[in-house]
Amino acid sequence: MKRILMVAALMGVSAGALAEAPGGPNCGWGNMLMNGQSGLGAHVVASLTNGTSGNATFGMTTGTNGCSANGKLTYGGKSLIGAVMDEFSEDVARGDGEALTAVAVAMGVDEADRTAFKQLMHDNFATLFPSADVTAEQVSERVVELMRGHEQLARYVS
Amino acid sequence: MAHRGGPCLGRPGVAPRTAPVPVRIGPARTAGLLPGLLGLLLATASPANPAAPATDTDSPTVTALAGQREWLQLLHYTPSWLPGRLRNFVDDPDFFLSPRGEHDPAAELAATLDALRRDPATQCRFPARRQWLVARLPGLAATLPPAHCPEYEEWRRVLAVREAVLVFASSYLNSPSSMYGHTFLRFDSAAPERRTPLLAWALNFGATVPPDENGFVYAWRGLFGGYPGQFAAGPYFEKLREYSRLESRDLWEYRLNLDAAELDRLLAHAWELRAINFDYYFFDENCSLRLLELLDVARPGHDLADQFPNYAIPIDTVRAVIDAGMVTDVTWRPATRSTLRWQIAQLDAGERQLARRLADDAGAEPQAFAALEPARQRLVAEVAYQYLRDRAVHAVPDAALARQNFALLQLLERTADAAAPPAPPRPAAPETGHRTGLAALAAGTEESRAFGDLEWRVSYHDLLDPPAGYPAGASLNMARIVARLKEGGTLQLQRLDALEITSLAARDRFFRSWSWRVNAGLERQWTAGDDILVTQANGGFGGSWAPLPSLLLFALGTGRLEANHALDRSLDLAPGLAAGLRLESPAGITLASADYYHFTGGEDRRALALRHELALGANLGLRLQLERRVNEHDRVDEASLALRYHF
Repeated sequence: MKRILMVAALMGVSAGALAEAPGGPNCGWGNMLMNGQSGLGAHVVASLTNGTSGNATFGMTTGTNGCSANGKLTYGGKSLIGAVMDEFSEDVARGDGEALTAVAVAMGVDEADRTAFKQLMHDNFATLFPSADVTAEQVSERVVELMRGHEQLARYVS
Repeated sequence: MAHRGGPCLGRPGVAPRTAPVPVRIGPARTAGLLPGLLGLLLATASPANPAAPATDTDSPTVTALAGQREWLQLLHYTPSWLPGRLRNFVDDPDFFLSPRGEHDPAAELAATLDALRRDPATQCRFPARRQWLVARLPGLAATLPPAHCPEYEEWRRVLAVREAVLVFASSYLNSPSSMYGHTFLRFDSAAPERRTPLLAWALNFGATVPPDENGFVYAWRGLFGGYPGQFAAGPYFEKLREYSRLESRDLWEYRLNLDAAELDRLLAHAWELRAINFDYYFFDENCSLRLLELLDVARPGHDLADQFPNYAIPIDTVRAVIDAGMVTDVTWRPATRSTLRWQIAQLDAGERQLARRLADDAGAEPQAFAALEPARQRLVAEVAYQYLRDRAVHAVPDAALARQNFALLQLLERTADAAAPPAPPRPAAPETGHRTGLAALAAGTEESRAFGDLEWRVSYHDLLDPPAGYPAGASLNMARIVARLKEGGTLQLQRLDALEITSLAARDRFFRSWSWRVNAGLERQWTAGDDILVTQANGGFGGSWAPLPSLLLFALGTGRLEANHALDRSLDLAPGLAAGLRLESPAGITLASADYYHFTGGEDRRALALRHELALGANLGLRLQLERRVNEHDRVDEASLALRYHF
């Protein structure tokens, strides 16, 4: 539970214009891909000022990442995938990368098991990302399902 | 006390008026146990009373403590131009407990002691002040009411900071507040579930914009400084997306050797700055200075911020932190586009064309793709995918783009069993580049008359300066002045540049970058036979091409506004053209350029210039300049040799 709270708290900070998912509740992968682009105007000005938009600027607001509208996590890692879906999908395709590591770390996967985690995700790329319409929620659920069915990784999601 | 001279040090001229004036800092119940001066003071304090009279600002203890460097740093006082007065960049009454606090450290210290004693919430609001005062006043802790600070403690618990990293985002010419780069702090977590850089926290100082700001107001105030500056914290992956992906800026991460107590002070003080407004000047980018102030609080004694009384160029603040022995190692994190450009450079012409076609259509040329070695397939897929992603940053999102993106992601997955492309080689770190100030001495001839030039430039880098550590093809100079002593003894102002920016970004099959330049200031122009000091502003816009990695060709359409009484129109406009090349070779850097202007009043002006710089060291260069300027009345040749020193 502590872990879930931490991830929830971590993910809560996304009031910045850059982090707003353009799709609102409909945050399929196609939309996530565009993360930051529909707000390009806002981005330009944010970069002009090194600015931050919003009032939740100190990481203390628990809330949503713009994707999971209810903001309640039922397991760790879910919101994180929503927030870094773009980078995560690339890393799963490649079989390695910092976003993939970050999801493993947030799920509590020990260093010794991370290679297995990455391999499992990569081997099941088509399951995790069956189409351009897949949502972060679906991806998250599948990550957990895959881990449940894996001898070495099941203990992290039991 | 470690403070240095100057008018900022509390109230150095104020001596205690009389022998011990009691400072009432709280109930006297523990008075007999208190050691030292405070004990004496407490012993004479009045009995407990929540509404006790305020602590005396002029008491020796308060005066002495309030003059201490660390207190001044906690309150962000800096020297002002007015002797005996302090400046404060904090522009927020919430930060001061005394109405006079903004300029009066002693009043603020007395008010802080009062408030700490009176209200437990003050202890939660100002944990660093509390910690510092408790350490200085041995009896104070016992006189404070019990305080529970769930919000602060939760914040500290969530952060669970193990290490701090100073992050430098490289120069970004397209944004005035980031031209010189930007710095922020990253806090790495000790929590097992967060122990990876992407899940670290970033603490950034920048303008703060209300959540529902109108776009136009946003742009206007963003440009002209209508927003206050605040510290903001957020996940590092958001910073990566912003800098690495959207703005294509490399990040340099400087790991700091702050120990647990130092990190504790830093975070306690950062908490005090939550939602506190600072003055934020748009061009006077002060993010880096704010960070130095935090580091000064974390590790007293280096007085890093004081090294920058006038302005702080971000990379210079990084150097100051390194020189203070606070950095253990440096990590380079290339921007997505830096990696992509490097990967493109690894492709041969056919692969390049294929990757470019795949970016438009993931199913294009299946046979040509299948014919490649697996490792080459992976590299081509990687380039096609990253290129589409790069383009998508600047495109209007639509379903077709998402589908194409997804198809390339699948291609990336299918080729991923081959060897990963090697990582791009690490360039020279920005702090190893030449220093940001410049002084130069030149000797030469103009119209066959000898002259000597003395040049001083406040900042930063031009196209001929030693390129290591600086962005390629970028020139950024502010406040440059050249004085010329001519044969015969005339001393004249030759040139005063307020601003000069040039951004040459090569166009190719993948990147349709634009090149541009702007410049404004005073300069000499031969006009109708006279050497006239004119006020001018000019700009250009066009393209650059790199037929070889070391060669850049550019062509710009230009425009110029000039105030010159010797012209037919004393304020005249001139459209023009400029073209040139920049070549890097073992013999140094060569820049050749041709400029043409046609004034609406009729005058034509042409200039040809050849410049070459040979680096003699990281901070020393020898520059040869040959120039010919021609107009209806004048043909002026100038040649000079300059010794340039960066300091």
